[in-house]
Amino acid sequence: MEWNDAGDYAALIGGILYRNVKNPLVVNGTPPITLSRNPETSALAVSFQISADDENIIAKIDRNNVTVINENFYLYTGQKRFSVIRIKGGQVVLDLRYEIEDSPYELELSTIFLQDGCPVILHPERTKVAKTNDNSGPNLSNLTLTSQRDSQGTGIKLDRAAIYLLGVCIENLSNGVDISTGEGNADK
Amino acid sequence: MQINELQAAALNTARERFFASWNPLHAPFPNRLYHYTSAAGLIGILSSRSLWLTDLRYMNDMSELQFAQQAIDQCISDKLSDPSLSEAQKEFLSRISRSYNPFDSGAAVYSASFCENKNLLSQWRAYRGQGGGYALGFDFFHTIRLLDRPCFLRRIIYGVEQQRSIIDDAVTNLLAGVHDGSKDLQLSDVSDQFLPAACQVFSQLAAELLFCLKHPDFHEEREWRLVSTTPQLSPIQRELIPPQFREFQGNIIPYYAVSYDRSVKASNDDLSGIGFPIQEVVIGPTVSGDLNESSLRTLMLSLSRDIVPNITKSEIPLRWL
Repeated sequence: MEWNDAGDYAALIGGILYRNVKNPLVVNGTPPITLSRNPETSALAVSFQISADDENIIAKIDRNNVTVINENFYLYTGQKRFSVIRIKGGQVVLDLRYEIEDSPYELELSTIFLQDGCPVILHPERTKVAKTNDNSGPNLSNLTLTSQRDSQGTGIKLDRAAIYLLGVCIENLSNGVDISTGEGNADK
Repeated sequence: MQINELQAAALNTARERFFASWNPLHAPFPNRLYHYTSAAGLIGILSSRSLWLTDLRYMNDMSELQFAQQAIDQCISDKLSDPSLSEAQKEFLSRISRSYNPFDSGAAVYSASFCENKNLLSQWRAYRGQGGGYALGFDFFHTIRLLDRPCFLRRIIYGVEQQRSIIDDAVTNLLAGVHDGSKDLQLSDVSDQFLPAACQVFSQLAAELLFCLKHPDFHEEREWRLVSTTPQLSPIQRELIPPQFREFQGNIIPYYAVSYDRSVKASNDDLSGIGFPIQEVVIGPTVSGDLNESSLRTLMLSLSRDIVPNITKSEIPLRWL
């Protein structure tokens, strides 16, 4: 059965609340995260792939179903929730909660990956690009970026730049956070 | 106590069968569990980054332990009337009917209570006399493995039929173990070592049951318990860390402070992938909701600057209390 576009939805991804944004994240022109809706249950689902630093695939998530491929990681499951965790050190590279009830959002996703040497940190509480543990405050916080429904715009566009977003909401735009990485990505 | 390999295997099988059906009742646990407390308790929990687990025998309501004990006693009594029991099985039941209490055999259970429901009128009423209550919404999914003391979560079972079934399974499994371990033996052969070992296993299972069974009238709480077990302090076990003590209504209450500081530190590390352990704080019905929200926000930011504190207020009118 064909799955539907997410349509109207609310999801917390990297601590950013996305509402009705077709592509919450775009990296070098490609949205790594796809949202869709189960035609039978109407549940919101996410699909994407996590890769390790050496570009080997760690895990694949297909409509909320996960397959861990890399033997250096393990799957930890809970109540409509799972995490992919590095065996050595316990780093959580993915945490997904889905079909969340009694909440402003239906799905919550956090993950960490490297793109062209640039860390993209979709932490449970915050989104950071090209910044890690530098003890500086957010560049944008407690901000809602909104537009009329089905707007084609982009919320935040980064061109080889760093950013720290805390308490941000992006709604009704086509793209949420659009990142272009490349050589020399640094704190600008 | 020395028992032979066959007997040890029989008891082990009984224990494993019990936990094979028992453990799935307590997993997976909810993504958010709420701990109700007073303002002083909240300040203590957040400032110290720890939770107090109290010795179960001293928790608020002793009648709840008695409720579980009565259910277990009833099951043992019912089983004793079974005419098909062997001598060894009858002797086993007779012994545990006199004493299976794990607290008598050197075990201590410490726990803190949590509810799935973040807006329980009964809980808000309990804290009315202290100026109002708060519900701290913990996410234990990763936090539980980062606590500084081994702990596990247990769901409280309220349904009477389910309670009976669980206790019956525990006793039946051990009766089967006693049967297998005493086959072709006289009662005198198993009396001194094997039966005491079987009684000890039952005490361990009873320890699980005693703090997980509650009267059905409490079902709206949907309670979970964060539990840590330890041998009781004695002159022999020198390595054990003693509990701390607090006073309550003239009683001396033992407790262990379990720290979740590692979880807070992990959440402050961008690369850990672990979120802040307290995902929500609900302010109960109180006269100063806005003022308390402001101070609570400051208190939470003192633990981490990289969060947006999720603070909500109960919509239950103050006059309902």
